[in-house]
Amino acid sequence: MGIIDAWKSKSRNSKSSGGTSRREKPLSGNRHKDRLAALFHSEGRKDLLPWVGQLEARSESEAALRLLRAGVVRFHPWPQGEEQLATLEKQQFRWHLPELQDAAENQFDALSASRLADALDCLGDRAGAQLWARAAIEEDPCHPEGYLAVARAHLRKFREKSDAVAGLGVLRYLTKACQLRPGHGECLRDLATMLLLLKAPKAAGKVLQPLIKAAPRDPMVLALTTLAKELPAENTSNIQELFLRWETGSEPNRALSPARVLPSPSGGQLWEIDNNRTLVATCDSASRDDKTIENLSVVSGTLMSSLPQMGIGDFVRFTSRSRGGILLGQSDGESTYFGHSQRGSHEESLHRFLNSLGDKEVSR
Amino acid sequence: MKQILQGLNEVPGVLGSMVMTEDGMVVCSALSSSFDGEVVAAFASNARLCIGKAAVQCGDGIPHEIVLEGEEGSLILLDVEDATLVVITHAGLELNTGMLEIRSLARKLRGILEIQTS
Repeated sequence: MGIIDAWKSKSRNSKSSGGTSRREKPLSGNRHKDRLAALFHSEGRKDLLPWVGQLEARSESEAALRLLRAGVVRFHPWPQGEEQLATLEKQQFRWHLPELQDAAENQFDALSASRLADALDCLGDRAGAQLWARAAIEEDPCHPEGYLAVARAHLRKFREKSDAVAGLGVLRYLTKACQLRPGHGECLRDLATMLLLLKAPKAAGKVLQPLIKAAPRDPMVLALTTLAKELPAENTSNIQELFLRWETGSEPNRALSPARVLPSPSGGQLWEIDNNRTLVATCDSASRDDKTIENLSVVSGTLMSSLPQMGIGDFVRFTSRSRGGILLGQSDGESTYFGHSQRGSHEESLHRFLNSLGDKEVSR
Repeated sequence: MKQILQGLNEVPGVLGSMVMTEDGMVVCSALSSSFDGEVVAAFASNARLCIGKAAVQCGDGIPHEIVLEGEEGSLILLDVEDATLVVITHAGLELNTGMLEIRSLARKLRGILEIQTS
């Protein structure tokens, strides 16, 4: 199940299953809502740090932290805000660390272990944070908090360092947490944050709907909602395509009709996708359905980027065997040729066919 | 499970193996120090997910076996009872008998996971 599907499957239950969680208390009274919302408009950044300072001066550290967290997400990248947030989080977590350690060690459960993991991650002890987050997962694999702690640590790293592995980590662990407790307030907020970092305001807007109802004055909800309204709408709901767009900075040209026709292998279908993930050729019998093309394009982009990062060199080819058929791919460095047949016995001949296409392209 | 993975790593050409859940959580790992389990799991589950979607869209159903070949090695993903066995090999193992041994050990692993879930 994909991350958006996992969330959709039960988002309507958000109220009953923790739509308001420990971080969703309104910052202060109703009268501040408009002023708070104004802070997240594009001109509001200059007022945000002074406001945070005022809250700190009034010893409202929790509120200051919530506001600054929201500001950092809203105005990303914002080095000054990030720096101030790191300082504030460190102060807070240093203060609470003994209490969190006590809770995790004495009344050990998934929630206390994941809170400690969060604190350690903010204090820069990544190894300790990982240990406690894993312990939370092992203690109760059906509780979302452990997965959320890992997802949040990855999200922090993804935002700060644009790290692709961390990005994939966010998606994997948030998917799991969303599956375990659809509608969980923090899952939804982290998911909306991730979607906005991937420039997907349409999807983020849908995720935010239950939060807007449950916690309309929450600074993070206000920040995310403002950002979602500001970004141009995405034209895909495929999270892996969105990730590839973030990673490569380019998107395939879906409007281009394939310029060339490939020869038809017997009983099979062929497609050629170039390195920009755009369909450039097909055989006559191949499906040109948008979803098929998008899926093949995502496979091409994903394998091109993943294999070197896994340590097995540039992508050469892949074979996928299912009960209902085979799907093959072969790269010649400039394009990926895909072949499909419903007969498993065609695997060798189809691979040879793809190979010969690649060779022709090279000699051309 | 660890024993089976260690046995798998003794197959000529195999560089390491691990078992992960369908959503990419590492269950058991026997990878050498040159591979990071989290990195392999992240990319392997991402690749498995997108190839799976494409195969389903083509009408094949969810793949039970995926072989990804790179210039310096291969990654084999075998479906084992709600989990995935990930095997990293030298380039070209698909062409020799190593693949048969890997499949046979995957069947053993499937048996263990069937017993554990029943």
